[in-house]
Amino acid sequence: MPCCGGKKGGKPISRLQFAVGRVIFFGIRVTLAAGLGLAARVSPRFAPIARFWGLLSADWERAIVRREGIVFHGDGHDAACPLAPPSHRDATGGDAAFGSDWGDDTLLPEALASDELAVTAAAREHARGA
Amino acid sequence: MPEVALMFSGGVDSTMAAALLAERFERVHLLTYHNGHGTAWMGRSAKRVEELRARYGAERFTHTLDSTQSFMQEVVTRDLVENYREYRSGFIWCMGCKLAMHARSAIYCLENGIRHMADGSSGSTQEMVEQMVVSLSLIRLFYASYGIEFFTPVYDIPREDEQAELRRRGFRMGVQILGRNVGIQPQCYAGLTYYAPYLLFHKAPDHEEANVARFIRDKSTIAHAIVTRWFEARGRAVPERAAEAAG
Repeated sequence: MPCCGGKKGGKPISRLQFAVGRVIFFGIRVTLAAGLGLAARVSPRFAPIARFWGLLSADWERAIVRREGIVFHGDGHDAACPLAPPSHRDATGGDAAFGSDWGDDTLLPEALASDELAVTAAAREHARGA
Repeated sequence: MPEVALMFSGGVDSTMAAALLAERFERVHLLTYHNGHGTAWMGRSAKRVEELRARYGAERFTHTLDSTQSFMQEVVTRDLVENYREYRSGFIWCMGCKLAMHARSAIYCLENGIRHMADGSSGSTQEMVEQMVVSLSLIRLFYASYGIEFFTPVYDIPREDEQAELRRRGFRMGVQILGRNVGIQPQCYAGLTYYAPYLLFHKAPDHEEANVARFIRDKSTIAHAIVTRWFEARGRAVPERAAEAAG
């Protein structure tokens, strides 16, 4: 699986941050359940939305309690998902795109300028039996 | 080049994209959407448009604020629970929402004869499912089937460079919190909720590439049907669609 964890994904947090995060997350979960539960009673069209967010937040809760994908400082595997450097930065320091003479080829990241990647991604998916 | 359409929120990435596109295209059509599910502060986009017009000329930009709620219903909410059980990740909400926006944008381009479509996707926020390379690649194929070129003008510009450049050009930057500029663009509370575990615990979202690709290809069928029905309902010729390269 390619890394798509972003700048922060897999990076360590402190135990204090984890504790504060759990309090905030609990607040989010309660607010979601109450708000969407009420909305679903008023209008049935909100029922699947309430159900979806209920399932999702329950799954998150389980993962958070088990600390799945959550790393503490000192766990020994910091930055589990390092972000690759930008693939298309200009060698002069990345300011070329701001000039008045930026060319057509700066419009697209190299990977996206080619249909090959898209075809490759789709082909890979087909190959996996999708 | 004459005209381009751009998905526009007024945030750092789409503002930078709009500014760069204004240097290359005669007219930039800024498209802002709300999905009817917890979006707020929509007026912030219009304020940003005024800034762009003041700097580059009022005639250079058109701005459209539109709802994608009905499209969202078809693409996302109709089979939401079933889709969650199938894909086992909440990305279906955000990716489905974005696909609904892309369907609406394709319609906009086709109605206005626009052959270039862009968004503010950034490599600095690749944790967002719709900004993964695999997602952008498949979206590119979606537009290409209508003869529209989709591209991402700021993808490889680091966020810090964008922020510095926009500041230099005199744009409002809002309040910077944890590297993000708050108060300059609409807020999607559902999206914020989805990324809460990432923001709070640095827990990488579950965006397995093959799973995301399968979802996009599955929902692209619905998005194409939306485009077709749009034109049929108005008694207009349905745009011809080339077969997608990897279809």
